[in-house]
Parts: sequence; structure tokens; C-alpha cells
Amino acid sequence: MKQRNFLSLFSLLTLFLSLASPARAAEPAPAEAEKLLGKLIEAVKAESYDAFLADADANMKKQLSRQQFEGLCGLYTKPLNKGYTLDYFGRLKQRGMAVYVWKVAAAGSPDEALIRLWVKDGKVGGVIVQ
Amino acid sequence: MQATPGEMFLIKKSTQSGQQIAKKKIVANGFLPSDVSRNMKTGPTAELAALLAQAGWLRRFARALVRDEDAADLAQDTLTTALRQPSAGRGRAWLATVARNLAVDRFRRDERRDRREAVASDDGQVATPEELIANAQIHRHVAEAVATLPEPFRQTLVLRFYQGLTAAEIARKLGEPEGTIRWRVKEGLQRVRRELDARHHQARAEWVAALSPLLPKSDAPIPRPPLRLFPAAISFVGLVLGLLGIVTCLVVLRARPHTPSPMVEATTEPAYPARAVSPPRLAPASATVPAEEPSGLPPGPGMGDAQALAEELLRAVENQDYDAFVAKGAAAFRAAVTTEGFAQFSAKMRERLSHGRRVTPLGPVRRPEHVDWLFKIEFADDGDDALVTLPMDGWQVAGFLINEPIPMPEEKSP
Repeated sequence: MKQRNFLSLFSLLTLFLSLASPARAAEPAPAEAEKLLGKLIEAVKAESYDAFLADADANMKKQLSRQQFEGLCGLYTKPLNKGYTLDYFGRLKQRGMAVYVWKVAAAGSPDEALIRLWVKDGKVGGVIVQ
Repeated sequence: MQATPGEMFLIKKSTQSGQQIAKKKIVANGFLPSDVSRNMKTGPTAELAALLAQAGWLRRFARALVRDEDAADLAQDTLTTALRQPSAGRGRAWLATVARNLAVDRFRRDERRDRREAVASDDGQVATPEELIANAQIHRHVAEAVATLPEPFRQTLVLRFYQGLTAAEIARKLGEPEGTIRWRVKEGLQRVRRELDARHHQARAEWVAALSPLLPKSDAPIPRPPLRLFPAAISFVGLVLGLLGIVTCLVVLRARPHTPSPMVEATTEPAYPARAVSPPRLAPASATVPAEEPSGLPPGPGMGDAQALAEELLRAVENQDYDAFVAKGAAAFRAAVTTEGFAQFSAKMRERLSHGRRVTPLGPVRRPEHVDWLFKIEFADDGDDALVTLPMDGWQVAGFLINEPIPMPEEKSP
């Protein structure tokens, strides 16, 4: 199935390993962003709506309904629980927020996805898996 | 959709059907040129949830169209297609039409392959010594192509075709879901085909003819299930497909910044407060940051070459040089990028680019049919950074996306 084709996910160990990869001259992921992403991933893995929004800003909390979150989990919980690796790409600034970019590779799949995480003042403004 | 400045172009190549489908996305000023932006503005996850709610029904419907083991893939393809379409008209009837079209596509593709292989294997002629040598060389190429496949494809193909295990047996042996094994076999074979096509300069008939004697007649690739559609329905679907094909060729379509991969976008809308000014100190001329070479990618440019290409395309935009912009593009890319569209795109971007920029490579992302090379652009105008995506189909440019920030609703011009 194509969903399996694209993602399976994460563990902190592989996160740190992938950050240490010499494949690019990118700087390591800032600890704050890394921690936020890790918590989001754990929340999806655990299908915990409250945990997912724990660090979200007001707008994200307003935008993301429980039903929408369940939709996200329907797509990502299973692949995330199968194992994955993260590779930090870098940081952009857009509209006053920091946008952190990672590549995520599924265990057993040749295809990869891009994760963008919007952060400001320690709060998550949004996240995209593409 | 009306063309406005701030366009991006993306070409998607459908290797399964062997056809190239060119798509161009027109992006309004300041809007993120991707489906993501559209989704962001319209409640993406709500749409996603609504679509997922149809998944059970869709799988049942798919089972009525194709064999059971293909039904999940068909349902998934239908959902993926739905996610790429505007939100209007995604009811059951619409999804059913999409599923039928995809089923017909699948059926025709399989039929063509069967015919080709049957023709190649039944000619009844005796091979000359030269042909035997050539065939032996092709067999060696096949072995090499399989041997150089990345895991887990190599292991799966070896178990499936060299040891003769079924997908279910492999699944049990490896402790993986059967669907995963079937996908690996399919993907592995596609990779081998691509490799052989490349070695034989796209002359597929040449290597198919050499290999077909090896195929046991009774083991014809996996029996084809009947397509459970009425002939009238097939004709109607064919007509619709034909019309869609024409429309696709003539009309500028909304496109995605990536292939229709199994990846489904999910997003929550970020907040965009007022712009914080923290300008990078940039040289007036463009500067690039070199990066190390990543490994494990399909044939194509490395980081350095991809970065040089990205710079070349940015210079073409800056200089409003259409010919230079499409010079290294795949045929579908060249066909999709019109001079008018490019003129509007470059008119918008050239000012920011010409004031100075710094291009930093971020890295490659492997997609099912190409590799996306990603770069960050910092501009000297103190503005927002941009994310550049350069999809490469081998050594050819398959698209070019400059991803600018998404405006908040209140930032839109009245």
C-alpha cells in the first residue's frame, strides 16, 4: 500500500544518528525544535490529541480539531510506529517564524518525505508532512 | 485559473503508464505554490478526515473493480488523487469515477505489457549466435540490475523469482505484511525495468525479447483478474479519459510540488505574525554554500551538480531567459513551461533575486519517480527566505518550485 510505501517512522536514537550524518554541511537541529518535533511524533504515535497540542500556539489549537487530529493519526500512527529516520535539513525564516525542515525516511521504503515545522517563542505554529 | 506572477512549474512523470504528464501550477502572489497552501486555507485535515471516512466504502468498491489484492492499492490511489484535486465534488460518485478511471488505466497498462511480452516470446525464430550472445549480455544486465537493487527490493525479488516463493510465503518468512511484499516486488521490478531501459537506450523490446524465453508460460506474471466493468462503462470511461487527456494537454493545470507519491500531505495551519526583521548580511551577487555529496540516490546529479543547476535556473529567471530556463528540462517540462507563464514568473521573482541572494543546499528527498533537491534562498531584501525544490528525473530537470510564505488572511490585499 502506498501509505506504507512512504512513511514508517521515528525513534530518538535514529534521530540523533541521522543528525550526525555527514551527508550535508547542515548545522544540527536546534534542541528546541528537535524536542518539539519529537513530542509531536510521540503524540501521533500515541494518538494523543492533547499531547499533540501541548506546545501548539493559540492559532494551531484553534485550527486543529480532534477529528482532524484523528485523521492525521489514521495516516501516520502506523508508519511512525514501524520505525523511521530523520535527517535535519536546516532552518528558514518566514513571516517572523522559524521553519525547521527535516527529511523523514521510512524503514524499508525507498521514498522519503519532507517535514516542515513552524516555531515561534517555543510554540508550534504548524507542521507539514509532504 | 488565471495566471499571475509568482508561478512555479512542476512536471510529473508517470513511469507506470509510460506517459509523461505535464502539469503547471499557477500560484497567486504570495501563496505557497503547493497543494499544502490550498489545503491550509481550506482546512486540510478536515478534508483529509472526510476522505478517510470514505476509505472503507472505497475499498469495498475497489474490490468490485479489480482483484482483491489490488483493491487496497486502487483505493489508496483514488484517495491520493482526491487529495490532489480541488475540494469540490469529492462525494462518493466522484470518488467512484476516479476509481473506475484508475482501474481502467491499470487494466490497459497490464494488457499492453502482456501483449508486448507475448509478441516477444512467440516469434518462433531460431536465434543466431550473435543474438544468443546479445541475449546472454542482457541476462547479465538483468542479474546486475537485481544485484545492485537496494534492500529490501533485492532480497524480495530474489525470494520471489529466484527461489519461487509467493508473496504470502515471503511475508511469512520476513515477518512483513503481504501487501508490503507485493509492493516491494512491484517497485523492484519497476526499478529493474528502468535500469534495463537505460542500458538499452529505452529499447524495451530488445531486452523483453531476450528475457521472454525465460518466462515459464504457465507462470504468466500473475493472472490478470477480469475488470468488472460493463463494456459500455469502459467506453464511457475511455471517452472521459480521452477528453481529460486533451484537456490536460491544452489547459494549464494546478500541479503539486511533488509527485503523487504515497505520501499524503497533512498540515495544520501555522500562525503568521507580523514580519520580524532580521536581515542576513549578503553579498550583492549570489553566493553558494558548498555541501558534501549524499549517497544512495538513483542515477542523476549529486549535490554539487544539482546546486549548479538550481543556480542556473535562478539566473535564467533573473535574466528572464526562457531558453536557458528550459534548456535542461525534460520534454514534459519544456512542454509545460510556456513563454507567457515563464515571463510572469520571472517578472515577479527577478527583482528579489537580482538584489542579492544566498543559496544553501538542504539535501535530496527521494520520491517514487524522481529526486527532489532542496535549497534555501536568503534574499538581500531582508524578506522571507524561500524554499526551492528542484525535482530531477535522472539528469533532466522535471520541475522548479520557489516556495514563498503563505500570507495570513488579513494580509491579503483587499
